[in-house]
Amino acid sequence: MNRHVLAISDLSDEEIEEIFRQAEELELALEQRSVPRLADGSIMATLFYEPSTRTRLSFEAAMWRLGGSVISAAEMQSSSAAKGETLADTAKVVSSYADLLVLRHIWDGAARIAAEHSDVPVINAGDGSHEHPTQTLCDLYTLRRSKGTLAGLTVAIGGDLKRGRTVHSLVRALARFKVNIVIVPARGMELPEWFLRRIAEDYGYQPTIARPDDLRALARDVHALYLAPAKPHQLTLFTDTEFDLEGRLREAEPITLDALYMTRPQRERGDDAVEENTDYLRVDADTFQDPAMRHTLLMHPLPRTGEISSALDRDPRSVYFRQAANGVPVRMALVNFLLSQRARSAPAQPSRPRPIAPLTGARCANPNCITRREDVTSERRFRVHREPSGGAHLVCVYCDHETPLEVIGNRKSKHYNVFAEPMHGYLENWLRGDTLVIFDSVKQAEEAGFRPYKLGPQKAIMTAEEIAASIDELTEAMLQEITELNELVIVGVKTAGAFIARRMADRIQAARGATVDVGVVDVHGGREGVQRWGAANDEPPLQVDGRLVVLVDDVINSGWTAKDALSIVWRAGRPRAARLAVLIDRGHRQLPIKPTYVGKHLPTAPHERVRVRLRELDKQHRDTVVIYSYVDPKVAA
Amino acid sequence: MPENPTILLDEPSIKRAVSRLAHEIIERNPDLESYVFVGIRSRGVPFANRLAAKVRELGGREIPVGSIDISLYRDDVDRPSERIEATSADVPFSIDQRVVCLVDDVLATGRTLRVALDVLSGLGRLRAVQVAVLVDRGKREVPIRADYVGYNVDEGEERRVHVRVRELDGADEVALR
Repeated sequence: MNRHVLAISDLSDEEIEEIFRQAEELELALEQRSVPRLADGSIMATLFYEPSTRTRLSFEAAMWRLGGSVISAAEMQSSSAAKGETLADTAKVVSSYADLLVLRHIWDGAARIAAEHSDVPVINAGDGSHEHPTQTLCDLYTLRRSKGTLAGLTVAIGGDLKRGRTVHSLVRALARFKVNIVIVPARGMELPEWFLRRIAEDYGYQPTIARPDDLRALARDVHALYLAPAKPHQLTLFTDTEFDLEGRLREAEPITLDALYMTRPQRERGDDAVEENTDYLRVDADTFQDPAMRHTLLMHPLPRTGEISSALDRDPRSVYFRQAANGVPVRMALVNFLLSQRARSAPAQPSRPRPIAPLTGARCANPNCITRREDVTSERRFRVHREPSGGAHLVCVYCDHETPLEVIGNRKSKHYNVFAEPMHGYLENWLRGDTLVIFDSVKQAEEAGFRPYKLGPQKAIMTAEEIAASIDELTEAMLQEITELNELVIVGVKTAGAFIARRMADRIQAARGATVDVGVVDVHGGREGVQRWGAANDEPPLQVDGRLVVLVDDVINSGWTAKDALSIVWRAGRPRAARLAVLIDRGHRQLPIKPTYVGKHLPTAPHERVRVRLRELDKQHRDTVVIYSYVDPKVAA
Repeated sequence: MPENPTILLDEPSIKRAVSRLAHEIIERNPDLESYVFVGIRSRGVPFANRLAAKVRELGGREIPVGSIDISLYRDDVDRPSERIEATSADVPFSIDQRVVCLVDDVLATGRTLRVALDVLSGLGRLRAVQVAVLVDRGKREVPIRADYVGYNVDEGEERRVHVRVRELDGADEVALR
């Protein structure tokens, strides 16, 4: 069983201590140029799907210093990734060349996918906006080396706290090691709500939130910041006159700011124009002149973009370059730790509670999650998180984001229901009995063969003949506008839409004798890209560049499915244009999507379901379209 | 280049169009509490601000205005693994469970709006998206439509729709050139 370091939580307190102890020894050994060849004969593979200079160089330097060697594919975008190889496959293959795999990736949760498929330990060198544990190790190491301890320190963190994976890893680790945290976000760059909620749940801790102005005030008068006596691990910030301030000040004990951790705006992960954000905290010699900041370390993960004036570089309190230099001994210690764990073939991973992760058809709500880009073999990709209200949401095992719980089903009885208050009890029982299935939508549940608990009467809307006629009309309408059949590709939205797309192409074949490419997209995760109809798993996706893409689905209502399908097509390439053909438009649009070709407009009530049954999907049926109402607990309640 | 541009909308008629769109928005969204405007840079932003001001004037409610910039998103280059990295957003409020009205000056191919929808859905779990544009000039390449349209330009028109706004160009005008 391999040990991986995907998040800082993969290491126990004792292990972090051990790594730090060894890093100190190695730091000394580096100075004395007498580094033990602890990794002699071992190979590290570095896979960087996102540009990074210092992280990669510091990993590679660490490996060389230990007597090991490095193989590297720095520009992954231009190698196998561009040929459509999945990360899972790349990790599997490269892990057979090396003893250790270091991965940086643009998508959240990518490191866990690599770890699932790698035969050797994986170190996460940053995955999307998710985690960057080795940076955090360096940060903690620098802090502890300078201050002698972690518990009880007070650290302010300023800048872009919304997207920075460095910051998320750091806040998590500081909370864990009982460091008081003051966060000073720029406007619009606050720590996400879900992240704060998670910190509160995991560590019973809430960081103090300050505005940049407060921090400037703090620089002038550090007595503005106090430990609240009732909660030792909790700061209170008095910025304006508060009730019984005098009394509280007498009880409270003034503390000092031990470190100020600055971050740069995460431009590459999409952001505001920072130059315009006057609110962004900047530190210069002036800020740091205050006697109250006498012992305040100034930290930064680098590179910086003007948040810290270079006038402070020679100040003994500026430790950002030391922080970067520490990257080598800390990574050396971590590499040695993992390699020696491997030699010992240590038992299973410690101290991570096994998540209850039910079978699911649901999709992570985080658009940058790896599970939305790549097929995830495990069906158990969420933890169910109960809320105090009795409700629940899903937490992605890969990227840690929250996803709402929409539709739940029972694997044994094959029933589904919309998740709402009357279902809270069922959720618990089904979880316990391991019969819980989770779906994104009623449609998805029905396509999986599940039935609603309570049904209103069914009414047939279209017969087989009408469906056939309607598909013919859609096809004809489409052909009227398209002369170049070779540039056409008909792309069905899985599942029913794909069969309709197939039938449209068959009709063109019959009527015109022309073969048209048929593609399939799956908006519920699964393989990224437009797959050729009936293609095997390893077949490359269909090319859409410069072509006319006609998306086909059975029913449109909110428009979210169509929007997601369009996004998939545009991630796959650059079509000349895209159109949308649907058998039925039932209204209730939530997005500005307008189908180009519509078989039948069908006004419906929100609690009604329109179901297209196709013979390809449902062997007992001829083609039909039925409408019925289902009893939605949200409506009933 | 033809020397005589045709003026489609002058300053008073743009003002009337904005006012009419604000009326339509209020009529279709009785619950404006969860409504927000997001302008698409550059020229969508001033219109978003004007719509917000007009809605406030008519409905008495302050509606937050954000902006997104997708001008760097290259729709026309071959980059298969492109993410929406060249886009940026300044939406300093939560859009969870909100109805977002995207505002732009001209709707043509729909490519801009398609990218905008991706950017928005990356910002939070919004409830719905509506679209308001000053000019719809047809020529759609993506199956997207606007909910509120100030002025429709004939599909067959070959000339370019040219929008100027006071805040950026010193004058309000929609012309064909």
